[in-house]
Amino acid sequence: MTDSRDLVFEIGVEEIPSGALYEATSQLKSLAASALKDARLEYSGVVTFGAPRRLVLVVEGLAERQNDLDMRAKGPAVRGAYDENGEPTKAALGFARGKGVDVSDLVRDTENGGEYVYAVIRADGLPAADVLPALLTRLAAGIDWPKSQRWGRGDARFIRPVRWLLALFGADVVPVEFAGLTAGRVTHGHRFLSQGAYEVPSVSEFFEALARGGVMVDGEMRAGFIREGIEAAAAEAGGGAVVPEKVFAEVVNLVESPTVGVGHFDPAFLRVPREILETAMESHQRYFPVEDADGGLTDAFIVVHNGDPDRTDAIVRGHERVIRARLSDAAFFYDEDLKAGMESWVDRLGSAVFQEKLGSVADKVARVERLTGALATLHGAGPEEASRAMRAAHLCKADLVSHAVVEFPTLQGVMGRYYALASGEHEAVAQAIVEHYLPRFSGDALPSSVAGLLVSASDKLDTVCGIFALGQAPTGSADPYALRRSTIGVLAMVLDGGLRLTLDDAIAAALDGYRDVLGFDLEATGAAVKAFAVGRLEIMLRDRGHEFDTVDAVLHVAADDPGDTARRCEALTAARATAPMIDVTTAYARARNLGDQALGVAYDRTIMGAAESALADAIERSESLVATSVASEDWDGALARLAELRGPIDTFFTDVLVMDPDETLRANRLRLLNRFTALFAGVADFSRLQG
Amino acid sequence: MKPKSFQEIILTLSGYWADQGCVVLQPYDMEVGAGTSHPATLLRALGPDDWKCAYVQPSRRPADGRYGENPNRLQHYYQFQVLLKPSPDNVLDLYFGSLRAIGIDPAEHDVRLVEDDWENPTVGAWGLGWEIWLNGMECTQFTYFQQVGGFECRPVPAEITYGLERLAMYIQGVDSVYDIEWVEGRSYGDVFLRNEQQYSSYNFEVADTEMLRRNFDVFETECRRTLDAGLALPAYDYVLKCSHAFNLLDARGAIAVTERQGFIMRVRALAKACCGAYIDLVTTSGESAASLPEGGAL
Repeated sequence: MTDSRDLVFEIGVEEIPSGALYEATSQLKSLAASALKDARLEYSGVVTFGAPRRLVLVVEGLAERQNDLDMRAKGPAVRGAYDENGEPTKAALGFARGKGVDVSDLVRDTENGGEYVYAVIRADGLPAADVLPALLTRLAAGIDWPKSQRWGRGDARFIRPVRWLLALFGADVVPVEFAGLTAGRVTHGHRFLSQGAYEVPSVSEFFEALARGGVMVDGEMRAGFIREGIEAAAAEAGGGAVVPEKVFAEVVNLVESPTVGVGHFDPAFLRVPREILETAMESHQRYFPVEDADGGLTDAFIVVHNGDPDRTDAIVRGHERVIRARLSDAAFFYDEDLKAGMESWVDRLGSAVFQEKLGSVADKVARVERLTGALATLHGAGPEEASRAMRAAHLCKADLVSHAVVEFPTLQGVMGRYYALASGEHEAVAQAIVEHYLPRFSGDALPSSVAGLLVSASDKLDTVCGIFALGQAPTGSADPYALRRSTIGVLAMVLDGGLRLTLDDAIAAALDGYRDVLGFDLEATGAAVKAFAVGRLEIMLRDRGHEFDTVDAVLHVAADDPGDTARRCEALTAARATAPMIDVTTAYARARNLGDQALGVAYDRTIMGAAESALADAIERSESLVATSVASEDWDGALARLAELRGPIDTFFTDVLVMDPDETLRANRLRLLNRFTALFAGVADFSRLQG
Repeated sequence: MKPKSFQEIILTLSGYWADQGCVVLQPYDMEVGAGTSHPATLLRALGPDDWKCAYVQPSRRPADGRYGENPNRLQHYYQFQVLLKPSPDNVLDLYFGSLRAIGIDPAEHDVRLVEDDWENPTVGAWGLGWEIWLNGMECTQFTYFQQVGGFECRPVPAEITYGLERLAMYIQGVDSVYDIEWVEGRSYGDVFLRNEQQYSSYNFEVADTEMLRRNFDVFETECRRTLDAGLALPAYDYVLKCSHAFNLLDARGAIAVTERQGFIMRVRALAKACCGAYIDLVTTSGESAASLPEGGAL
């Protein structure tokens, strides 16, 4: 490379929201790389940094000049480019104009046997300094913000008002214009802890100036610094910090000069459920709670502040006062809730809407309660389990109108559990209340108790069936009620959580709850919900590593009980990896292709040869064994019995000419094959297996 | 130095913003839910003219009453409101200057600006800005208005809303709003505890819901009639009256879930109509009509 210099471009902005800052920092990097490439400017590296008040682009080893442009653009074929007099046609004129060359400068050349005209485009590379101002302006304008704003009298849009620009190419200012500003060599330090403006002589002094200004501009460095600080602070407080990644990531972008401090609150607050305390600390204050060695919450909290490190003690005292107010508020809500009791909330759910046309949350709860009873029967729950599940269903949404959940909506269910225990409900009922929201997403934990499984499945099925009954089934792109997630949740509980149900019965019971609410076609809706559920099941089973044809074959004989479907798939997938099963499957396909179902299975033993008889013996022996395995849902066993037919069927196909010219013999052999294939039907539809 | 009393904080902020060229107004003489609803902010945010103002506004949130039993929640509280249009380049510096004036030096505290995008669908308004955190306490809302009443704000105003009780509690180091020293020898509780108790009872238990429903209808009709007469400013008063009637009905639990959206849409329609009428007013009689963007309505 020829001569080069480093470039730094800083966009000084009023405090950029955290999420947008991460996004913009990475966008700026890719925008810059592609803009430099398009501009034929070579460089050795592009790095970007983001801090609340600035976005910084650094280009290392940026060439002094653009590379020269020397390229040939292919135009129309020569016979289309000139008329019979040799004059350029409209096509040639248009092409030349489009490429910015004179039509007389077009050259001819052959390519793949055809002759074409070409425009030769040459341009000398310009000095980078001439190109950079416009290039950097485009970069600044090219960042795609989730939301942007105007300010003052200007028309520029950015995430927040832009207040300064610094652009240096080596020691020279690049006069970038953007948002009514022109770049210079002045940057600004930390909003409160610096002297304000810093003049930067050249790129090499830029980071030093920021450091003097109290700015840690590298987000990764801030994150590392804060992470270490939190660990040290937690150790000092005698425990471990609870650090949700989302809160941590936000905190990293809320400070330009991070300092970590430890505060304490009145330990009397520890009587309040820890989830309330944690939520108050994390969601409102972005504090990190501290746990003791046993995992219990302590009265310490960690704060990452943006102030003067030397004033940390005073600042922490300030935060302690704020957390005291927050926690008193939370404790007040909790105490008020304890006074109220859950049963009064159940009545108040009548004024909370579930879905405009599907009634109130109270209506939903009444349906879910009945459905839980029906599902308990399907599951085969004992009377005690069933009554606890129904009690939990009755109370499952009550906490939605509690003070604590109104204040901290993420605590739905969690608070319900505490309040249920406080009102003397059985632990299993309380646990089912918190668990009925599970699983919240694919791969989330499942309810651990039967009551939790039953209420969760009822709640989800009620929503799915209600919305389908409304005629608002999800489309490819729109699933506003998250019915996919709910359906997958129910299926996951069956596949992995031990819940037992059959789809037809469960769906019918759920739709029954809407009979008096809506007019809808019960059968058609039930079929639509089932098809939707089977579609999810198919995808889930494939995601678990089953071949699509395995899933297909099983679903065609067993789609009503998802647990059974999954177990059959597992057995079939395992069996299909074994040589005997592979051969038997091939033989099945052959038998099926030859077979004529109209002939039935009543063969005549007296006209069979040895191979035929041996096969018939084997089939007859297997029939009762397979039937026994199928009856006990022992799919591995059933498949093993089927695989044992490999020998007799192979011998049969080797020794016997099925399509014998004698019609009687032929028909008898086809009946034998029919009986062979019929043996498989109770396990899966083997005709759907490919090879 | 002794921390400032509640009234000293108000007087200091008023003086500070007066020095920055603001028209220091008095509270609007009607019930409003927030300082933003004062026509000096909501309507003046529209139109091409420069405008700077500052005022205290009592804000009424009937549903937030706690009978004087919660140390942090009130159904009536004070906001100090500043509107600077167009937003000056140094607007944040001006704001931090105001904190210094009331005894809070940002260099001695942990001050953070946390994303908070403001939206008020009832008046078709939105803007981008922050909550300003003082050692973890949200003490101010700062918003660059982008639209009001569905109309683009050009130029863009900056709105600064201080939570006066919170600031005072912080400055004075008290844990209950009722312990704020209003002036030496008089607490906030002396002035307002009885009000909180009485109004909480009224808002939650006593207010005549039939009367409020009738009033809402009557105010709505009057608002439309006044707009028909081309009088945007008096018409806007009836938007505020409708809003307050709605808030009281809401606190009484008298609004069914199915009705709620309908009420909000009715208020929004009135607010938008008033904003449109106000723009017509200031651009036909005003001198800088030319700078108004065409087609401001969405």
